[in-house]
Parts: sequence; C-alpha cells; structure tokens
Amino acid sequence: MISAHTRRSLRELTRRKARSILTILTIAVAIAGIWLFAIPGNIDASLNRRVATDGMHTIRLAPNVLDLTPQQLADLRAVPNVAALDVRTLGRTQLRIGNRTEGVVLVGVEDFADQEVNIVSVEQGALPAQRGELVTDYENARTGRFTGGVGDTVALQTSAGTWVDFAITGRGGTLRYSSEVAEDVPFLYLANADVQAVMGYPAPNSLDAIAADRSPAAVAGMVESLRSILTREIPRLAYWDVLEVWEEGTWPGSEDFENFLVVFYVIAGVALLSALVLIYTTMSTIVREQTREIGMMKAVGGSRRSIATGYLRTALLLGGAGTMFGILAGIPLSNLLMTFMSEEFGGTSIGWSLSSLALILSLGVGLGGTALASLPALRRASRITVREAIDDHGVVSAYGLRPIDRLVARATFLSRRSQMGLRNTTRRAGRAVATAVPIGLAVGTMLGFGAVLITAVNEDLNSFDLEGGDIIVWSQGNQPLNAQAVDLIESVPEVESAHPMVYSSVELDGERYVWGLPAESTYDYDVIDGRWFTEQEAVAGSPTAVIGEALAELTGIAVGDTVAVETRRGPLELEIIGIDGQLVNDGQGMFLPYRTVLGYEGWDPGWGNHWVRTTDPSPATVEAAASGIHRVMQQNGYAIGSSLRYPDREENQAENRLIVTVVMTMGLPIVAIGMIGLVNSMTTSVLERTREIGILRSIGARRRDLRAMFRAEGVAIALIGWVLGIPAGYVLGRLIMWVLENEFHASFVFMFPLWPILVALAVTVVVSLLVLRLPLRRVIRMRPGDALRYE
Amino acid sequence: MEGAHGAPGPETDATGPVIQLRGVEKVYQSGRVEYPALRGVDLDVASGELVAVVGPSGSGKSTILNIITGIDRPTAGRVTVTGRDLVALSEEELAVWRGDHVGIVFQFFQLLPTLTALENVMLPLDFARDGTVAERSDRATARLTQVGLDGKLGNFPAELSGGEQQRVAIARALACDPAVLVADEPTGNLDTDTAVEMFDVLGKVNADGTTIVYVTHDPSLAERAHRVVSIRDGQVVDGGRA
Repeated sequence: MISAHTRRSLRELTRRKARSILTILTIAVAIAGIWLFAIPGNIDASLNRRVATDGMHTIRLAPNVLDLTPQQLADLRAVPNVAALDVRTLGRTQLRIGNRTEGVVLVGVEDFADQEVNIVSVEQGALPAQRGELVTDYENARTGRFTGGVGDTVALQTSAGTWVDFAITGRGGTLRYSSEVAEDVPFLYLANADVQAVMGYPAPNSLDAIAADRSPAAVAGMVESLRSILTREIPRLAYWDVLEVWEEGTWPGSEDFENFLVVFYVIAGVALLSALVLIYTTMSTIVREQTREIGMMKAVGGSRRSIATGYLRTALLLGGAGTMFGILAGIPLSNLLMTFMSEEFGGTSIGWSLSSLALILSLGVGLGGTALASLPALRRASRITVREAIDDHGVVSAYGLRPIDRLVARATFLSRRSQMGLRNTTRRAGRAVATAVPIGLAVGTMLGFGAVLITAVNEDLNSFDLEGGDIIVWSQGNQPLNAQAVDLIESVPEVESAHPMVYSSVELDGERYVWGLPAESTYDYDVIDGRWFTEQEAVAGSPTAVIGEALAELTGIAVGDTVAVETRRGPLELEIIGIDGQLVNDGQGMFLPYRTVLGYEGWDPGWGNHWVRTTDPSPATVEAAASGIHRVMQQNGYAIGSSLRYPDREENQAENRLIVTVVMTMGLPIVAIGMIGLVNSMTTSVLERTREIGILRSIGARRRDLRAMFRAEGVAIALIGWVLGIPAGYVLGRLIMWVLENEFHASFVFMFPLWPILVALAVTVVVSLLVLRLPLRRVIRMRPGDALRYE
Repeated sequence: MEGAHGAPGPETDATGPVIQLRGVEKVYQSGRVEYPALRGVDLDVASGELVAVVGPSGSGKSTILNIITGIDRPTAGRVTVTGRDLVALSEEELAVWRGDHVGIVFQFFQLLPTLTALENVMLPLDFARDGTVAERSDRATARLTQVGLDGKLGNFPAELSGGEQQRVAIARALACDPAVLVADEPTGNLDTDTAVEMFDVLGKVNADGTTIVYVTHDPSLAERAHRVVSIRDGQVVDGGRA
C-alpha cells in the first residue's frame, strides 16, 4: 500500500507529461555524456595490449642502407636492453587501381614465419609463403584507400618504371603501420627482398627494436650503442629519417588522442552542468507552480520535512528515469565512439565493453546530482507558509517596478508583439537566465573549441607549408646525390629548385633533432630573435645554430650564448645566433648550416635528403616532377627514394576536418540540452500564462500575434544565451590554448574571429525557432474559453 | 454601431437585435463529468440597451457572456451578435471579430502586467491593425482621458490602484469603438464608492450608444440597467426579451 503523499509524488510526473519527458530526456543526455569518460581508459588499455601482442617497436633507426651481415645483425641483437630486433625495407611507390595510380607504402618483412618486431598477422587468408605475394592492410579497405582483397592481384610500379603483379594472400596488418593508413596511403606487407626489388634498393633501410626496459635512460643507452655499431660497420652512414621512439604507455595516435581527451572531458562536463541547471530550473518551476498546493498540504498537517521529501521523491524519480535512459544510450554511444576513435587514432578496432566506473558515475550523478540540483527548490518548498500560499495567484503583479523592467520597456522601436515577448523575459528574470545559461554554455563550448581548432588548423597548415618543399628525394644506393645529381633534378622541367638537407640529432639537455640546411632553403623560418645563418657561414660550416622557441624556453638558452652539445662523434660548441618561432619538431628543433652537420657527422656531401620545389604545387605538376626526377636519375645511374608532400598535406587537412566534425558532433548533446531547456522554459511560460492567452484572444489577438509574442520571448532568451556564450567561448578557448601552450612550450596566435560568432548567432536563432514550434503549437490551439478557465 | 473593419463570416439580419440567442445550450466537460451550464437560453438585446444579468453563483451568467463574445461556443442553438452568426465563424475569425465589435471587461481587470496603461489600451488597436501607431496612441490616450486616467498613461498595472486598473480595463474594452461591451462583475473587486464611480463611466459610454451587457451580484447596480435578465439553473427566468 502506497501512502497518499507518495502517490502524489508519482502522479506529479504525469501531471505535466511534456515537461517530465523533457526533463528525463535532459538528464538522459547528460548521463549518456558521462559515458564519454569511459572511452579513454578502454582505448588506452586495449591499444597497450595491442602494442604487446603486435610486438610494436620501441625505437626505429632509419639508415639509408642497412647492408648487414648475419654477424653484424647478431651484434646489434646482442646490445644490452634489446629484447628483439628486425630489419625491414620500407619504400613508397605507386600501385595501379584500374586506370589510375596511387601512392602506396611497402613494408618489407625479413621472414613472415619468424617475426619478432611489428608482427604482421592476418585476420583473413594467409601470410605470404613465397616471393610475389603480399598482405593488404585491413585499414586499406576500411578507409577506402585500396579495396583489393584476398585472391586479387595488385600491380606495383618498380623504380625502373615498369609494373609487376603481386598476389594478395591475406588481409591483416600490424599496429604501427595500420595506424598510418587513415592519414597516409595504403600499406602492403611483402618480403624484404620483394620491396628491394621493386624499389631498386640494395638493402633494408629500417631497424626496428623492442627495448626490454622502456625507461628513457635505458632506451637512450640502447640507441647510443646501436648507433655506434652502425657507424662503425656501415661506411658513409646517413639517416633518411629521424629516430622514432615510442615511450612506455604510448601507441600510434596516443598523443593526438590525449590532446583530444581535453575535448571529451570539457564536453561531458559542460553537458552535465547544463543538465543540472535544467533540473534546478524544472524543480524550481514545479515548486513555484504548486505554491498553493504546498500551502494546502501544510494546512492539513504537512511538515516541512514531509513536503521536502515528497518533492525530493519526484526529483529522484525524474533523475532515476533519466539515468536509466542515459545508461541505455550511453553504452552503445560510448562503444561506437570508442570504435570510431580507436580506428581513427590507433588504426585498430577494439571490442565493446562496459565500464563499471562510468556505471557508478552515472548512478551517482543521475541520482545524487538531481537531488543536489533540486535542493534550492526543496528549501523553498519547505519554507512556504500557508498565508503565502493562500495569497498566491500565480501572477507576478510587480512588473514595472524594477530598473530592468524600465530599461526593457524603452525598446519601443520593436513591434508591440515583440515588445511583449521581450518584456516577458524579464518578468521571470531568474528563469530566463537559468534557461539562457545552458544555451550560453552550448554556444560557448562550440565557440571555444571552434577558436582552438581554427588556431590549431592555422598553425598546423603554416607548419606544413614551411618545410620540405613539394618532393623529398634521397639516395637509396651507394652513390650520394652530388652537385651533378642536383643539376639533374633541376633539369626536370617541372622542378623549380632543389637543395640538400640532412637530419641529425645531438644531445642538448636531451636528444634534439637537427636540421642541416643551406642558407637559402625552402624552409620558411620565422626568426623572432637574432638572425638566420648567412651564406658565408653555411659554406664555411661554421658552428652556429638557430634553435626553436620551445627549446629556448625549456633550456633557458638565449641568442649570443655558446652551448656545448654532444654529437655522435664527440662534443661540439655552437653559438646560438637566432630563435625560430615556427612549430616544426614542436618548436624544439635546431637548425644548423648543412655543412656544419656533415662536418660533425663525418658524412660526405650528398647524403641525406634533397628538398625539391616544383614550379607549382598542384598534384599533377608534383606527380610529373617526381616521375621526371626518377626517370632522369635512373638514366644516370642514381638509385633514389622519394616522398611527395601534397598527399600528406591533403591527409592532414582531411584529418583536421574530421576532428572539427567530431568535436562539433560531440558538442551536439550540449546544444540539445540547451534547446530542451528552452522548450521546457517556454512550455512553462505558456502554461503559466494560459489565462493571459485567453485574455489576449478575447481582445482580438490572432494566432500569429500570439505566435510572434512567444517566439520573440524564446528568441530573446536564446539571444541572451548567445551573448553569454561569446565571453564563455573566449575564456574556454584561451584556457585550452593556455594548456596546449604549456604542453608544447610554444606560443600560438590565438584566433577568435568574428565569423564563428555570427554563425553561432544564426544557428542559435534558427535552432531556437525550430524548437519553439513545440510550445507554440500549444498556444495557438488553445480556445479562449478554456484558457480563461485554466487553473 | 460598426467597427472600423468588418469581420469575415456570413451576414445575417442586420436590422434585428444586436444580440440574439436562440435555444442556446452549453455543456462543459470536466474529465468524465458533464456539466450543463445553459439549457435553452433565448435572449434578445437591442442596440443601445444597458442590460444587467443577475442570478446565483453557478447559474450560467458568465457562460452567457462567454457565448455572446464567442469566447465559448454553444453546444446547441444559434448565436447572432452584431449581425454575425458566431457559430459559423472559426476561432481565428472570432478573434478578429471580437477585436472589431466587442469590448470585454473582466472581473479581475486582467491587464497585461508588462504593458503600461497606454500600451494596454493600444493593444486591441494593434491587434486590429487599426490606423498608424501614432493614431492608435492618440485614440488610446483619448479613451484613458475619458475614464479620467490621462495622468497615468505610462504607469504599469502594478503602479495603479484597483479602481484605476478597472478604468484602464474599460478604456481597453472601448479602444476599438465596439458596438457591444460586456462586463463580468466589473466591480466585484472594488469598494462601493469606486464601484459607483465605475458605473457612472459605463453609464456615459452607454449614453454614447454602446450596447452594454453586464453581470452583477449587487442588486443596487442591477437597478441601474434598462433591463434585468434573471438566470437560474442555466435558464432565463425573467427579462429574456425586451
């Protein structure tokens, strides 16, 4: 048997069905948002398991030619802390799909039957058993880059320009490379010997090793030992790429993912805050509406405690229902997002799971948060006196006495209907503000993230534009690219200029990447202090250096200082002549004259890379230039490798677009909560003013008059939200940029342009007009007689 | 007397009584319970008449006013006011017709709290799109002057006394120069002196040619009418026809 008091609490839910449903929906959206918190842990754990299963390398060294004897290989494997070591041949060529060609990365495996590092496994078909067979990465088909499957053949372009067919025996991959497919080109796995034959390479060019101890010091020691063996054993050793290190707990995409987590937490937090504001508003409205009833209950003996308990029960019922629906929505939502994000960031699919942490949080916030947000209303309910209740007619008659009322009344340039709508917002100013706050949070979140994304995309594009020219060319044989080779490259009609550059690294308060460049290069430096090196310094190989802004900040090094760095061949003193403000190498790079790097590395000129600028950056010209370079170099006996920049740039832009889309999509629940709040508030306004609607109809108001009046009120509240959202967005954007700046030790040019604010205005108005159709339907369907009799 | 704009709807007998109810029945439904408020009411009111409707609580007085103004629709019967068959008009047409032809004064004044006295009186003119904004303001000011409130045009209802609020309500009801003015216990919330004062105002309005039908409990105020219609249990027991 349920008490009458409890029954009343239950029936409260069905008394205003629309409002109850909207409130439950709001809580459900917020609770579903909590499940976003489950994603990071699950993805991290799953991908760390994949790192172990796939034997992902801890470090990769990328010498141009790894022509090693079995004994040399054994020596490398015997280096302390090396748990496993494999050599691979990596190459980038073209594959033919129908009548077109597309870039492809070939990953060589020494022996498919005996893999220790970056183990390629198949989920369909079989690993290659002989030459002429390969495995296609499962991400190739998922991302739509290459849809060929088991049993198909694929034609690859050789360095001689001919085409050779390979049979696809399996579909599979390995974490390290699968993760790159989405951002790059298709990846194929075949025998080292096959890659070398296609690319015209004499030997492998990648040394992948797993460290037993992955602490930075142990890994650094291991790398130093490996490098010293390579330097000793390989004449004219040069690297075609910088050292790749995967620290403990990291996986491909983990850094991007961690940055992205900030978005998750902020969005989930704002969604929760918006929902709590809405619960507060709803409960306050219920109590306000029922002032007379509360008085009646007190008149028949209801105590403060029993009345507060009754409304708490109502709140908990709303919270309980919302929590239940939120959990039911949150589990699939978080798992779908998790699958999407693990594929996008980690290049791998992970199974569904149920987070007990998210479950506990959902129940705690859904019920506890609801109770907390209801407290002010419960307090008010318990304090209403019988006299107050009897005097209450549900009408605020004090309008016009406050300065805000007088101020709003001055907007006489508006139509009468709009004036009335606007004035009604200040009639229940508290509720209008409480409704506007979630809208402001939604607008602010979108604007804040929008500003960060605009800033980041801008910086990212700048970084992309300033390095590398259009094509990177390197020697893949035993013959360096000497002055004659540079002339040959520049003889290709589509080539504007070519210059050498070399990657290196030195010790300076940790390992620092070094770019060896000529005085004039395609690198578009931005010297914020001091100067760049001169032609004379470059030719002389003088010990001067320009360092990145973040490195200067981290080490306290300033222009004019002389610093001692440790090279592979011993110590070297460098004079710091400038600070570069660009963000390449996260602002922690060093730029030295090309000949200075060759000098301390002991390399001959021509080793390393050549950056090529084409006559125009269009893909057609770049492709033609690359083909021309390969042709002319091959005709003259040079074995080269090349990499085109434009696909990277396009992929980078696509990735940025994807992130913008994901962030905006994730922000939708907050917008939804804001708009549900608006509908809720306007529905309450309509109910509250039902008699007033009757009066207006009685004195000649048509439906369109009423519609315009309530629409003006709703849009005015939404606009208050938009106004609140602008500073909120600015502060949020600044805050996130501050966090990022501290992380990157760099300064960004924060961008908060006008156009997103105007877009937000248009979206706010349009969306609010759309959602207002619901409460407005109630207004225009009301008959004046029914409205006048409404209690 | 006709308003500035004619409302849509069929024109009927334009020379007969300004208000004519024939066999009007009204049944209200509250949940599953049906409540008959009017049971076959016949009522004629001639142009320029001042008619009081009296009767005990729940007898159907207010329902008659709601039927006359088109606020409620009859369950059965015919309602013709200012020559329009109200049953044939849609809700929207009724709203427009009311704005042009009928003024209503409610018991609790029912002014819009967010509008000043002047704006409250201008509102029906706004809804009727009657003249320019300046003209509407002039007409509303004239009506407020007529009820003695020319010094309180900019005051919000919260800044006016009960009597003053009811004067504004009368001015609002008269804003569109209606042919008919109905008032539901217009002095129910006023003290005796103010109530008498209010009836003086209504008397002057009626003397200017406006037909007035009002509901009252007060016999002394009922006596001021040309005719008293008595209602009991939803039926006219006396004074239904002139």
